Amino acid sequence: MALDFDATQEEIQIFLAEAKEQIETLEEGIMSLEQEQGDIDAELLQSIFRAAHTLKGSSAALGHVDMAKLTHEMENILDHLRKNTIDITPELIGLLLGGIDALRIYANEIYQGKESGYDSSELVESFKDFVAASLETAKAPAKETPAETEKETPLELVFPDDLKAKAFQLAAPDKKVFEIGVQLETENTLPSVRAYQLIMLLEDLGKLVFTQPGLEELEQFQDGKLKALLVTTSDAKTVKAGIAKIPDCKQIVVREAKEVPKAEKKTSNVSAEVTEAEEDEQDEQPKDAKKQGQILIAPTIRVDVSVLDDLMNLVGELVIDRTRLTATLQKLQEGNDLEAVIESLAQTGGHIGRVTENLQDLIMKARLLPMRTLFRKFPRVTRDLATKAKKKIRFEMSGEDTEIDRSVIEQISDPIIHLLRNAIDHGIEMPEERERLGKDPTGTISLIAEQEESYIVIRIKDDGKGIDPEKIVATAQRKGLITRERAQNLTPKEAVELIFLPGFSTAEQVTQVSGRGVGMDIVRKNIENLSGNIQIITEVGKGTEFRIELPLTLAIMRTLLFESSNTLFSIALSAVAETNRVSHSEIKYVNKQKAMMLRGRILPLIHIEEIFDLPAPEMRGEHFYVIVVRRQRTQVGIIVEKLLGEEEVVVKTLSKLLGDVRGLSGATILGHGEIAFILDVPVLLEYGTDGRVE
Amino acid sequence: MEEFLERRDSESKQIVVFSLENEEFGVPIECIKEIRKLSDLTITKVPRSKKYIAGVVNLRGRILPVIDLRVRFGMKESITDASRIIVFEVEEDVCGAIVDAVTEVVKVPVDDIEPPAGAVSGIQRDYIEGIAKIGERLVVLVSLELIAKTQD
Repeated sequence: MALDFDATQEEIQIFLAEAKEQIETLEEGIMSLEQEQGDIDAELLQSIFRAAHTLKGSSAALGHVDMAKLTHEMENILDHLRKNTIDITPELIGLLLGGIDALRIYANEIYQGKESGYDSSELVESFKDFVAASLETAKAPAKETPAETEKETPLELVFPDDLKAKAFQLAAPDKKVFEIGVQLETENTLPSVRAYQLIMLLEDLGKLVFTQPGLEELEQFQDGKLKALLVTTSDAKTVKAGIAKIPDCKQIVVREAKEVPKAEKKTSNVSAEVTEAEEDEQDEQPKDAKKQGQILIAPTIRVDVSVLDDLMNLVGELVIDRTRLTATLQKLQEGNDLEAVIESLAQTGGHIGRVTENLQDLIMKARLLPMRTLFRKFPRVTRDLATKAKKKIRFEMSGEDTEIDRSVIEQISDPIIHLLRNAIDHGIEMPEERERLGKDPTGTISLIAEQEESYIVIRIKDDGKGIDPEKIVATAQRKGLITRERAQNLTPKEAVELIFLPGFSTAEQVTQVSGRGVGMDIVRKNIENLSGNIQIITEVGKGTEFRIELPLTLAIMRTLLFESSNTLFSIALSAVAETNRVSHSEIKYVNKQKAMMLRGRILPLIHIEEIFDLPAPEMRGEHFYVIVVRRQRTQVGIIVEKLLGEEEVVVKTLSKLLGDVRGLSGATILGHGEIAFILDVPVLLEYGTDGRVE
Repeated sequence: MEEFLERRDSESKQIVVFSLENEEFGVPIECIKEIRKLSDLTITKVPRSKKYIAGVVNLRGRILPVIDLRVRFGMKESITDASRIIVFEVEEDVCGAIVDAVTEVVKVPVDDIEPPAGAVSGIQRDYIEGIAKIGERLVVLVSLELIAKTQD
């Protein structure tokens, strides 16, 4: 069935963006509650509570009744937690996480504009049951009901003097201060929602100096009496008419306030609340912008205004350079002093160089996103996987602020999940086993991101059983991935790296959780596609660490430039182990395949021309160059005519219209406008030896 | 004739006419982004690409593939001073095509464009959108987009 809301498409988009943020806050918060256990952080609880609360208000305002009911129950539980009337138990965490999943379903319903058929009423019931049961058993009498006594008092409009004074400070000559009182229908099931709507409405009308209840206190709001101090340019009639539009208002009082004589400073509870509310308001604004930029409209990017300003300035500099060039051209045409022209050209050229360098830097920065965007989903993923695997796991993350190119973020998510899965499934032992070994029954998995020079390093570490090279070799041999001789010559490190061979991880080790047809070979391939690499550091009995190195950005790459058969090529410097000047006599033939000895090992050689079916080169001079491309154990030497040196290049993709240009991963434009082709390293490595063939 | 064209303005097409060997071909003007002198651009051959791909060019910082239409249509390669690159869009991509010369832009009444009858001078029927009669001349209207997209 189609869902129909009384809201514009834009409002729905804003709701969704906010909802996503709040759901994430809830999830993160609940996850940390579970981690902290007995030691509850009041601030954290408050932030979770606020998220549930806001979500309740906004879903009710939008008209999604089920979502509002569900958030109401979640908020209720959180409120009990906040007041310490119920305890955190795994069951409760499970319930709350279930609630979060349900909220995601509802958010998706709203996004798609149709019902999913999901019904949360059972969940709502279990929330209610849980609260009832815990209250009965535990600190039962704790719930206070002071609201009851106030219920019948008439609408009274008294505000503390210091608040009024504050309001008048804010009131410019054209603005007035209004004292507002509203009595809401208390029979209504959710008076707090109406109060929320009222507060939102008043905020739209002007500067809301004070409300009672405040946004924070709406949950305890039962007497239906709302008081507010508003500074606005509107008149009393408009304000009253606005309020009257909100249903269930029984009585509305709007009157202009009289200025109070300046009182001495009082630090009452109320004023403290006011400043807090203000701060909230202030940081709410930019958050909204971020929320909308981040999700739903994924291809957009949020850029700091100052970055845009800097870009603008730099472009301004370039415009000046253009004018200078035109002037220089004119001088040249007029036949002026050649030396002056040269001087001026050199200056302009230097200037353009500096400006473009800055431009490049800024644009790169604008593309960066904090790892947090990616990391925030992992605590939940880990928890679910651990629960399914029946393992006890403490999950730690650090370096969420490390920034990396957005295109990398999108592509590194799956490999990290796979490695986390591996750590939980194959790394961390069962709790009993750990205890038997004298380890903490709760295993620790850490996810760490940090920047090292122009690389981002992501480490996934566990304190589990480690990888046993002997077992790996045995498995690889059994699966026919390596020969017996080969198996005997492997160093332990090489042996462990056999897990990256295609076909190594197969159904046999696939548990319920891990291995959905992706093996470590795919993980490595994905990382290599990002011009990164992955290493394993492991010790039997102690644990395993996967270390992923990724370039800070994909768009710019440090490369080695070379020329062969009048074609310019470049290769990622990260893949080049070394370059050698070699004479013809050093080439040997092994099974008709060219090779040479390099420090005692056979290095297979191939002419770049052979890879690309270019006309065979006529090797003029006595010498030529060999670029050694190495990744893990695989290595190959590429024979080229001329090395041109290192160059930082901007990577451009090659058009699909060219057909299958295997071996080329892109192209780039060099200083004088020439085009150089960027080599696809994995394809080159296919010409090399690897762990399997000798 | 002039008058006739004027009157039927809304029902005529502007065709860019180019030549290959001794034949004339045409493309609707709205399909073309720009026309460049071949000698103004440097073509870089792409290793392992298709035979009819002349290479890539750097057009204001964009790397475009360039098709040699003579080779594509099974004619002999021949590049002269008059050679031009017609730049056109193919879906998200931009592509160039080398032709012997761009001769004129003419307005052709839709009524003077006939559906393709069959293969013309070795060019697959699929690429031909029609035959335009311009006075006594016959101009073969082709779809550069299809020519670029279809890989054979």
